[in-house]
Amino acid sequence: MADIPAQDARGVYLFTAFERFWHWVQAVLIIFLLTTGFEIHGFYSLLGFERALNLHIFAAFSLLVLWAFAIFWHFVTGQWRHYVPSTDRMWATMLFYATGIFFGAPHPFRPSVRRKHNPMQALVYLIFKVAMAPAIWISGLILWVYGKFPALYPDDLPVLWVNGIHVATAFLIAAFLISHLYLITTGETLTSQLRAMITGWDRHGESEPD
Amino acid sequence: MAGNWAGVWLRRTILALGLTAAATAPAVSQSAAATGGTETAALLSALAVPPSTADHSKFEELAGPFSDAAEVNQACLGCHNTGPEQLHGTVHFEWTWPPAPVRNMEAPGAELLAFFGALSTEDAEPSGMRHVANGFLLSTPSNLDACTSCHIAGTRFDDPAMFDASSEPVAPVDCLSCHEPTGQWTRANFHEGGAACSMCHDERLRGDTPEVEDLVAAAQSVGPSTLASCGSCHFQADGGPGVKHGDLNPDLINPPVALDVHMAAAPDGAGFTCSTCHTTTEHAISGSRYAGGPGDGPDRPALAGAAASCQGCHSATPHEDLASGARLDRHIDRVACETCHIPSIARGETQTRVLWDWSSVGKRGRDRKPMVQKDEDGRITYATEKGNLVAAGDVKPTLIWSNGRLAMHRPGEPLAEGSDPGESETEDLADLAMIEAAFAGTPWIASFEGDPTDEDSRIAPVKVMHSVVPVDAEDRRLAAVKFSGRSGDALWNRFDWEKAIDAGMEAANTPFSGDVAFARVRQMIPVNHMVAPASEALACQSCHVSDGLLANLPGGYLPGRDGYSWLDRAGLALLAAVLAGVILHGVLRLGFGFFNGRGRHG
Repeated sequence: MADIPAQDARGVYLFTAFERFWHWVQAVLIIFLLTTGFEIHGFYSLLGFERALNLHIFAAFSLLVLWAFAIFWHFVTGQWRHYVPSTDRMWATMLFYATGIFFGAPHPFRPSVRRKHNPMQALVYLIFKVAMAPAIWISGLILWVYGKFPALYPDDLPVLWVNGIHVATAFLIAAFLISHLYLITTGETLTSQLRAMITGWDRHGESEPD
Repeated sequence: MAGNWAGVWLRRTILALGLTAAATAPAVSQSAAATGGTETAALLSALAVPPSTADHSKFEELAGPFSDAAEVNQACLGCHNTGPEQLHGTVHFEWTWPPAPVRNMEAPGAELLAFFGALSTEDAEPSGMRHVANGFLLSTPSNLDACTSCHIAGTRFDDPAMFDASSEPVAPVDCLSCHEPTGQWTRANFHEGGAACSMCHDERLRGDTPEVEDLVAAAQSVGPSTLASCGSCHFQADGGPGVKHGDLNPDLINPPVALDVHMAAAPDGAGFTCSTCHTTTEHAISGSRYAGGPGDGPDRPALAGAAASCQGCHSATPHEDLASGARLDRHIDRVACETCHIPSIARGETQTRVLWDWSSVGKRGRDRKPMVQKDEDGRITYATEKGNLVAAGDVKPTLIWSNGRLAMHRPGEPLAEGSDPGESETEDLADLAMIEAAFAGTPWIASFEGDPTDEDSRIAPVKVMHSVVPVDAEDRRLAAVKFSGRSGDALWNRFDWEKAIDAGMEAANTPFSGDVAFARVRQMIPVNHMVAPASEALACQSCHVSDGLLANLPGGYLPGRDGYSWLDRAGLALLAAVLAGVILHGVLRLGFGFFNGRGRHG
């Protein structure tokens, strides 16, 4: 790793092929699940309730399989370390997005192979992974059991509560998605972060931290 | 509408013609089944028309000549000698629920019925059409002479004791009423017997009444009951074709498969007759709106005996589609089959009555004679004898929670509390939506019990009838009314409500203060027929939306409708706030971008 020239025109190779595959498939599935989910919830009619529900369930199980592989990948490759929360430069990062970004100030954090995400980013991703994702798949799985295997469903559990958790989490994920889509435009150029997630190479990454 | 329909039939009243056609019908349907393609069609056809080793047209006993119907029956009973005995005590004979063998705990299963509450032994008062009040022709006891035109006795009678076979006199039984396959016999017979015209006809008709032309042809044509023979009474309930039941009307005599998949002829439909589902044991026919709820006996095999339930044939897991079948099957513990599979009633030509305003009777024409008024489509909207009437076609049933137990009223019983707008006009209520709004909150004279927390309740469809009925002004007890007859107290002779109710209440054996008032009431009528092809069944999004068919029926968990509205509001507010935040941030970046360079790390 140390042999990679700091001056490589492509920058730093941050995102491996699996990571990018995981990210993009997950992105498509989550957007599709939100679209069908809010239709099932009754906000609008697009595919029709029945097809929306069938495809929602199919997409949900696809995402569970993907997540199973991703979790395995995180632990085997040690990539989980990127999501350990840190207060290092947290205040500076928040200040940057609140003020510095408007005046062309430099970002207080530069991604590197050792630490890919700025402290705010890492914290939000961690919350997504340990709170939002489990809340949505556990509640979703319970709702699926309610419909598919009613005998297994515990009678004492009010299904409206389970549904409430599922919907509330869906709103949080939708809010995450909106801010995520906006924040990818706040890199060095409008598309530099998008490019990094497509090619794996971050032109502005730090080749080797001190 | 009754007028039009009757007119059509008047033009072909020669019974013999109908009977000749009917005699050839079984042969035709058998050959159609044999050559008609699929094995299933043949099987269903065989189910519908049980093969017989007896050809009644060749029996010497039926060669006649007969001078009257009683002689025909004597000929039948020469061989079928236990017929009357079997019929005595059935609902068809007594017009009473529970039927005698169940009441007396003699019937197999009676104790079981009592145990499950389907048979209320504490309630001494029997129900059944002889006893309960309704919003159409109001009450039977005060009009026995007219109502019994449709009794299987085949002749009218006015002594209530004749319903009871345990002591003389006993009403006779008329085999042809059910076993003459075209239904023309019953029609001609009760017209000839002097039925009260206004019971069925809203409009006074010109022309001859149907007559029985050939008793021998009728006798030789007998066979199993048919749609037409059962329908000669049941498709005309409470005052003409389709008046009472939107899901039972003469359109079902030879229905297209789109109207009823079971009753349509094979191979398109299943070719069922009524008794294919309403199975019969010793002339006692199963299926009653007074017993059996949508949640009852799901696994009872239909062919094992009395059972008129969907699951009896279709099992509890009838949906085959791979993707959604299990999910649809899962609805069975909350939703009756009929709810989705009978999306609309009165879908054929015949409409069903949805409003009957008795308070407006008695207005006469300029010639001082009874008259009718019609709308631009020729439908009768007013009849002097009946009052304001509204009929509707393609009616979407009202969905309710039902456990099958009917809370009903008998004449003389007080109305339940309910909002009552008083004696306001119904003339302007032209369509069903307006009628429903005008009758919102009014008391029920018959309604199904049930609620979402009750395990035996299902969401089930009913037709809601809206009526303005006479009550005793003093205590709002439902009035029995004498409609017809020769005496001056009959409503249709003098339109004197006090006298007609006085006579009616006496016949119903209940007191009357002498003061008449009118009340708006509603009545639930079960919907079980006119099962549509599967492709026409309700789709998921008929109910799984916020403003669907179940929007006003609370209970259960219904994705697409149910949720916490505060959660939705909070969630949408969060999304709006985040969106507003990023837009504001973006605009600020653009604005400041004019004054600053881009590269931050340089």
